[in-house]
Amino acid sequence: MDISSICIVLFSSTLGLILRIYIQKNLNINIGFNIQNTSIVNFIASFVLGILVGINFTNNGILFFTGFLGSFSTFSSFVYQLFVLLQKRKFMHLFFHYIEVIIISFLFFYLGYYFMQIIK
Amino acid sequence: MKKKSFIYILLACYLATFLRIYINNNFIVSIMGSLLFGFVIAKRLSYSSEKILLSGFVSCFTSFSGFIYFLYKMINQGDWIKFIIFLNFTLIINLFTMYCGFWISRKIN
Repeated sequence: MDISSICIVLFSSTLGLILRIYIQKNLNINIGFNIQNTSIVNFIASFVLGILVGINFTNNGILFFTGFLGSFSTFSSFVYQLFVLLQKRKFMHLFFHYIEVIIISFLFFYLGYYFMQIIK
Repeated sequence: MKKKSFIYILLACYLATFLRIYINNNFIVSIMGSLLFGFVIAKRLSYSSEKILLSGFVSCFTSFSGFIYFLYKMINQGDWIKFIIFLNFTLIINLFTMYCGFWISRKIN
């Protein structure tokens, strides 16, 4: 990895981290039911990933999004949400949360993907 | 958030990001992340230490978008059975690993 690649990764991961912390701390969306902030972060990341897949990026672009999306989205927090439900023995809640996050993430992913196809 | 804590979170994030790029395997990274996450939450750490480890290191180390991309590739190949098996298998393994980390941490205490 050369210096420019390292700089791109450092910059993009900083951006991803700051944005995630900001959203997790400040955003609170309630549309009839409360959506957890970690899920919102992962949905946005899925949308951006869809855009990335929809366009053919150069190496530097891929590196930027590897740093940005990797630091922005978080798989471990998603597993932790499920773990908490498992500990509380809320199995139905766990099952529906799991299904809901996966389905909505894919919806956002394809939304980003087709959005780019239309723009192209 | 204190300036010093934020710098530590950033450094943890950089370390995690380069480690993730170096390992370059989403499945292994997620398992390691879940184990560490479980280990950390079982400990009674200070707010800032927990932030540095969880929000800075583990969250930047594991990647939900990488997981979605991997699943997308399976869907793209039309391999729905592989997709369903891998999706459930990953989640179950990660939950189990997080529990192991949690259990190990409690035992050490």
